[in-house]
Amino acid sequence: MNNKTILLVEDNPDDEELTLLALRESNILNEIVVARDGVEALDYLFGTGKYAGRDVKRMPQVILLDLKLPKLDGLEVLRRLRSDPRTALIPVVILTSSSEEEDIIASYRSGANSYVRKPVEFHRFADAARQLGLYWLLLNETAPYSA
Amino acid sequence: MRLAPILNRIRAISTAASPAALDAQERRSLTLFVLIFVALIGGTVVAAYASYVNYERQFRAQVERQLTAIIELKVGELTSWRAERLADAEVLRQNSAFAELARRFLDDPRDLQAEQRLREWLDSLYRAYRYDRVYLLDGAGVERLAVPQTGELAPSHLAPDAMTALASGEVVFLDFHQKPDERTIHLALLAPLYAGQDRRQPVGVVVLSIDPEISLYPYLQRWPTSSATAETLLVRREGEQVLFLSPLRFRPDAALHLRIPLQNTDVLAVKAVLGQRGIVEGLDYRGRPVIGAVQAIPDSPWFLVARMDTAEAYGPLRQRLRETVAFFGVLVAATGAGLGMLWRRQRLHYYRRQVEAAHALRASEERFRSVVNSMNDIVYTLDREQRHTGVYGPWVARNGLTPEFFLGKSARDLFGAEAATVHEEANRRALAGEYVIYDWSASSTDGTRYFQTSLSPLHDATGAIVGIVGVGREVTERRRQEQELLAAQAELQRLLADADRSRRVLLSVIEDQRAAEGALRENNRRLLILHQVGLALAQTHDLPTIYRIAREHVLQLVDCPCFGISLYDPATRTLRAEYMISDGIVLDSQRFPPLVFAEDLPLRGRARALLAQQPEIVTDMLAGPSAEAVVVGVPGDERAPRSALYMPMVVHGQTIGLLELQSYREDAYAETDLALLAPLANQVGLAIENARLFKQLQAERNSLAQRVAERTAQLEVANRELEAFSYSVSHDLRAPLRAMEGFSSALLSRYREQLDDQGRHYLERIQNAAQRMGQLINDLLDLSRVTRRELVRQSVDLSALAQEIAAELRARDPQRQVRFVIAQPLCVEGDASLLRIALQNLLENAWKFSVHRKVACIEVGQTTPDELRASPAGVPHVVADSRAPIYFVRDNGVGFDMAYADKLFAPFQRLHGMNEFPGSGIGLAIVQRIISRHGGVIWPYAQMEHGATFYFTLGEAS
Repeated sequence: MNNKTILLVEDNPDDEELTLLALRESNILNEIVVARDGVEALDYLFGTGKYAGRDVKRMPQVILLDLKLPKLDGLEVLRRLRSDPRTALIPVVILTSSSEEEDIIASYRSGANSYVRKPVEFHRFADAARQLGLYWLLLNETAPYSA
Repeated sequence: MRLAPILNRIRAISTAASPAALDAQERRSLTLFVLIFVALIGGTVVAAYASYVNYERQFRAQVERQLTAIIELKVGELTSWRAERLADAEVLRQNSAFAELARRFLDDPRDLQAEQRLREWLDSLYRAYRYDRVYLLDGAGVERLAVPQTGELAPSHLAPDAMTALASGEVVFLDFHQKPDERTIHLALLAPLYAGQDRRQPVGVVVLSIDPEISLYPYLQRWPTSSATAETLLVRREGEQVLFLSPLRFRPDAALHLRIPLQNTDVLAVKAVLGQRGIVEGLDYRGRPVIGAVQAIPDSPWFLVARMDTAEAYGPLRQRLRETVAFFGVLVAATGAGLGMLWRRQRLHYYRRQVEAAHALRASEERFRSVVNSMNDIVYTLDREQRHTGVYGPWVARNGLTPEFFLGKSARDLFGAEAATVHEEANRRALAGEYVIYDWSASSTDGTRYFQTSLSPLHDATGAIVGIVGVGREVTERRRQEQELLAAQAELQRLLADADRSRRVLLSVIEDQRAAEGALRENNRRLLILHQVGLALAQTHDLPTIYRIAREHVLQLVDCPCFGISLYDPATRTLRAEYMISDGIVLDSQRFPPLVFAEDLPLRGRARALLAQQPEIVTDMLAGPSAEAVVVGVPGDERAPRSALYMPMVVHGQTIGLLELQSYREDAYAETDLALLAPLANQVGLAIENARLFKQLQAERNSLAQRVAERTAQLEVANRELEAFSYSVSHDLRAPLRAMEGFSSALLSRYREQLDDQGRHYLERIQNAAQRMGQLINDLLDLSRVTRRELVRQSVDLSALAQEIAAELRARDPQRQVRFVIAQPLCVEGDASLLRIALQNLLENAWKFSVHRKVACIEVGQTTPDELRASPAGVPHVVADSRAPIYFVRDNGVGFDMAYADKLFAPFQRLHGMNEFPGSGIGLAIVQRIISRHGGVIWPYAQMEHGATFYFTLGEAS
C-alpha cells in the first residue's frame, strides 16, 4: 500500500499472531513493527535501548496498543507518548480484551484516539482490523511531524 | 437734755467737710487732672515725633535705593551699548575681505559684483543693529555707497573726521552732533579700511550712523515706576558749560541746545560734571529743588543724572506728616475731653454725696426721736456718780411717773440698797468703758416683773467717759414664754426617751428575724450546693472529675482539709482508697493499703459506716488509733487529723464505698452536718456507679465498633479481590479463547481442503465452544458489574422504561405479534441504568418464553399485598408486613414448574434446554442482584404452560 508503519504493542504471542493475521487478511501490507512490552514500545519510538540509532523522524502512522503489558502497562505508555512533543500527535488505538468501563474511560482520558475490544470470534476480529486499517492508514490525515 | 451734746457732736463731724476743706480738695484733684493731661500730651507728641522720624528715615532710604538702582542699571546698559557699537566698527575695521571688496569697488565703480556684495554687507549691518544709515566714504571723504540708498554721490560733512580716522587707523566714535544744515542729531562710528598685504593702503571709511531718537533716547527716557517728574538725562562738559545731550521731560528741545554755566553749582547736572557721585540734592534745569543720583559713563565724556522733584519724592512723606499730626491732635483732643468729662463726673458725684449725707443726717435725727418716743423701752442717762441725768420714753408716763421723778436719784435711792447692787455693779463696768447687758427683777403688787438693761459709756468731745446711757426693757412676758418653752422641752425629752426604749425593743425583734433569715439563707445555700453537685455530677462520666466535684462541694459544706473516697468490693469485703487529697495535694491512693473487713471485726469507724450503712463520726482520733481509722495525711506530718467523718455511699441499697472527711480540729463534725452530707454522698455514689456502667458500656461499644471495622475491612478486601478477579476474567480468560477461536478459524479457512468433513465438524465444535465461553464470560462480567456498580438513586419512570424496551424488542422481531399492557405511571426511586437492565432482562425473558403464543401478551404493572393475598400467587412471608408497592412483569408463555422456582435466580441455571430457548441463564441472577441492591425482593409465580409472573419490590423507600 505505502511505506507507513504500524506499531503493534502486544505481549501475548497468540494475540500478536492473530492480529498480524487479521491485518494481512484485510490486505494491509504496511510494515508492522511489534513491541512486546511498554518499555520496548517507548524504545522504538524514541530511538533508545535496543532501537538506539533508529531514525526517529520516521514515526508510525498509528500505534495499536494493548493495555495489559509487562513492565510498563498500556495506559502508562500512552501517557508518556502524550507528554512528549515528538509523539503527542501520533494516533493511538487501544486494542484490548477488556471491556471494563474504567479502562475505556481511563484510555480516552489519557489521550487515546480510539478504543477497540478484541472480539473472541476471529472473523469479527478480522473485520475490526480491516476497519482500523482502512480508517487510520487511508482515511485519516495525521498531523505533520513537528519535533 | 444730755443727749444734745451727742447730737451736736455728730453735727460737728458731718459739717467738717464743707466749703474751705472742699476747695482745697478740689484744687488738688484739679491739679492732678491737669498733670495727667500734660503727661499724656507730652507722651503722645514724643511718640508721634519718633514714629515720624523713623518713617522719614526709612522713606528716604527707599527713595535713594530706588534712584541708585535705576542709575546703576542705566549706566550699565549705556556702557555696554557703547561697547557693542565700538565692537561693530572694530570688526569692520579688521575685516580684510571687506576692505578688499571696498577697494575693488572704489577703484572701479563699474565692478557691479563688488558693489552688490558690499551693499549686501552694509545692508546686513544696517538691519542687524538698527543703525540710522551705513555708508562708505572713499579716501577723499566722498560718499560712495549707502544703505539705505540716498541721492547722488556727495562729500560728507564727516569728511574731516573720516580723514582723522583714516590717518589714525583707529575706530572713531563721533559723539552727539548735528549736521550744519539739519536739526536732527546723530552719533556715528567711523571704521577706517585698509587693503594690501600689510594692510597699509588706505581705502576708505565705513560710517555707522546712529539716530539717538531711535536707539538711545527712548531707552534713556524709560523710568521703571510711574512718576510725574522723574527722568534720566545725559550731559557732557563743554568748556565752562554743561551741554544737555538728551531731550528733557520739561524741555523736549534741550538736546544739544540747553547749556548751563558751571557757576550754577546747585544744578544737579553741574554737580555731576564737576565730579560728584551718588545721591545728591539740588536744583534742576528749571530751578526746582530735586533729588537725584549722578554717575559718569566709563570711557566716555557722558554723565548720567537720574532725578525727580523733591516735591514728588517726599510727597508721601509730607502726607504722612500731616496724617500723623492730625491723628495725634485728635488723640490729644479726645484725651482732654475724656479727662474733662471724668472731672465733671467726679465733681457731680462728690456734690451728690454731700447732699445725700446732709439728708441722711436729718433723717437719722428724726428717726432717733420717733424711735425713742414709740418704743416701750426706757432710755436714761447717768452721770459718773450713777445719778439719773435724764429719762425718756413713753414708759415713764405709762407708769404714772415723770422724768423729773428720776433726776438726781441713784438706783440705791430708787430700789433700796439690796436691790440696787446688781445695777451698781453693771454701772461700774459701763463707767469703766464696757458695753453691759444685764437682767434684773423687781417685786411688786402684781407679782415679780423682769427687766433687761443695756448700758453704754457716754463720752464727751474729748473722748472721756462722762456717764452712761442706759436702755431698759421689761421682759416679764418674754420670760414667762421662755419658761413655758423649757417645760415643753422637758416633756419632749421624756417622750423621746420613751420612743428610744420602744425602738430598742423593735431592733432586737428585727435582729432575731435577721438571724432567722440568715439561717434560712444558709440552708438555701446548702440546698443549692446539693443541687449544684447533682448538676455537675450529671455532666460527667469521668471518675477523677466526679471525685473532684465531690470534694469541692463537700468543702463548701464542712471543714475537711483531708478528703478521700474509697470504694468497697462486697465480694472480697475489701475497701480500697480511690482518691485522697490532703491540704490541696492529691495523694497517690495506691499508698494506702486496702482494708479487708473480717467477719468478726467490731463495728467501729469505717467498718460501722460501711456495714451498717450509718454515717460514723470519730470525735478524737488520737484517743484510739486503730486499723479501722487509718489516718489520711502525709505520714510523719506532725499535723495529724483529730476528727473524722465516714459517710457511706449507698446505691440501690448497696454500700459502694465511703466519703472520708478528716479535720485537724477535734470534734469538727456534728450530727447536723450529716443531714446534708448523706444525700451528697448518695449522689456521688450514684455518679460513680453510673461512670462505671458507662465505662463498661463504652468498652463493649468499642469492641463492637472494632468488630464492625474488621468486617468492613474484610469485606473491602473481598470486594477488591472480586474486582481483580473480574478484571483478569475480562482480560486474561478471553485471550486464550480468542487464540482457540482465531487459530481454528484460520485452520478452517486456509486448510479447509486438507480436512475431511469430520475434521471440519470438530473444528466448528471448537469454535462454537469458544464463542459460547466468550458469551459466558461476558455474562459473568455483566453480573459482577451489576454488583460492583455504585447505586445512584433518583426518580425513575418504570412505565417509560418498559415502553422503550418494548419498542426495541418489536424492532428486533417485527414479525411477532405481542401485546404489551403497561400500567402508568410507575414512578419509583432507584438507579435508572440498573433498573433498565433488570426490566430489560425480565421483558426479554417474557418475550422469549412467549414465542410460541400466537398472540403473546406481556404485562407490566403494580399491585398491592392485599390483592396478591387474594390471588393464587399469594404473598411470600418476606414481604408479608411490608407496605412497599409491588411491581410485576407477566407473560402468557410456557411458564415453569414452581418446584424449581428456587433455582431460578442462581447464575447459569436454566429450566429449559438450549435448543428450545437459547440463553446463558444469567439474566434472572442479574435481575435479582439489582432488586436486592435496591433493598427489594423478587419472587416468581408460574404454572406450566400458563405463563409466568415476576413480582418485585424496590425497598421501603419507594
